[in-house]
Amino acid sequence: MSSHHHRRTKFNFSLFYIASLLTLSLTLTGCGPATEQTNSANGGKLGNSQAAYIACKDGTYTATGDYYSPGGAEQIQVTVTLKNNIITAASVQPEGVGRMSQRMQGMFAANFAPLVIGKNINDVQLGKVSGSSLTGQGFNDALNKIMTEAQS
Amino acid sequence: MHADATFHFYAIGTKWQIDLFSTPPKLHLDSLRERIQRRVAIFEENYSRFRPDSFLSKSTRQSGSFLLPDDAKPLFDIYLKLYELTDGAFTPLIGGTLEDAGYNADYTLKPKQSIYSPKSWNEILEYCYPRLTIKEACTLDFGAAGKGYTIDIVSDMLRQAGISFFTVEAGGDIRFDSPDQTLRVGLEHPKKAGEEIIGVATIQNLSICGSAGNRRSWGSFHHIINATTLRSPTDVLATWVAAKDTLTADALATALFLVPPQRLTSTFSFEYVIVYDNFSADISRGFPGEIFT
Repeated sequence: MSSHHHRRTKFNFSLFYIASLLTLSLTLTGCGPATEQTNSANGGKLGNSQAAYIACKDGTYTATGDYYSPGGAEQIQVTVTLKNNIITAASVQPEGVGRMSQRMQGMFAANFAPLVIGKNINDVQLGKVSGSSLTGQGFNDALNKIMTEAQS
Repeated sequence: MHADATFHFYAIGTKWQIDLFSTPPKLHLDSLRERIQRRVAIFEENYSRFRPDSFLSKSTRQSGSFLLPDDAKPLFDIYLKLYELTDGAFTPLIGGTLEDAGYNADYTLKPKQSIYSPKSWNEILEYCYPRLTIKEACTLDFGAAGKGYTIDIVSDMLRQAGISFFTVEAGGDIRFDSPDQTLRVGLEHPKKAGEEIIGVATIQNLSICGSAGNRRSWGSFHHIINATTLRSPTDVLATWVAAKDTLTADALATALFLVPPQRLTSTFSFEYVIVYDNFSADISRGFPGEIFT
């Protein structure tokens, strides 16, 4: 439960951040209803204007934000899922053109993204586990030797 | 799912497990197993950087031109494509760097004073399948995709033997074929391997490969080194890629340590999870599974 709370706080902050950065031209796609939602988030008004009280239909909304970086025009795509006027999921899709923008958007996307948590492997029914290569014995042996040397 | 037969063996530096869930009536299991192990051994004899007597080790020790093995095209093609897409960060010439960093046949794991900085592809290599020309002695490494490619080769052998329901797993990279079932694959927690998972991928007729710096690391290095910075990336903890073939999934799992996914999405069809060092995750929209958040 605490992780949910944490996540929501994080999203709100991030949304505010986006809103203050970008003018979102909302283009509805996919699973969301295509008729309503004209709540154009503008200049950090979220939370202190009537905009925040407009009732929204449940659904997933995708918007592409345009902004100008020192390197020129850039775009970033934002997707939010609304349920009972609460954002239950959100993601950003970096679409930067310039090298620096790609990097900045990548960092932003990374920090915006939800934090992963681990679950005990025995609590989830699995067929297989995928991860870093199970290492060759040679590597482990060598590493152990080095560790031993380092400690002596 | 209950396997009719399971093969375990150790090859190309890792553990293999092949599960056959349904087998044609007259299949000779021992001979199939033997043919598979022989085929994987041939791959190693051709490409392994860890074997001084491998075909590539011997052929790249001096300048010259030679014909590549019959199966080389998909491997070289994807390396060249990723070399271009990553501006040289992904390159087979990283072999010399890995050797100097201590990731070599003897696993010295002691970086040399000066580490080989890969030259550009065109300065050293001229690749025009089936011919490879080496302009200067070099050490080529196909570790970022060789395992995935070998899984594909083995999977094709199973299909040709009339098997359509199987898993081929080599060191955490997995191919699953089934006409009607899915496989749940846990995604290993990059810091708590063996204890926790951070999500589950559900796959069918799909490959999933993961990469992480956690297990094969020494000093400031792990097994992925960016050829342009000569450093092992630290901002990414782990990546997973699901794709239609294991070669692509394996290669892209490494490439995602080097460039943002947007650089790769127009060229390759794949889904991904990237876990960054602050444990935030970037999950592609179509990733077949769930990540715990």
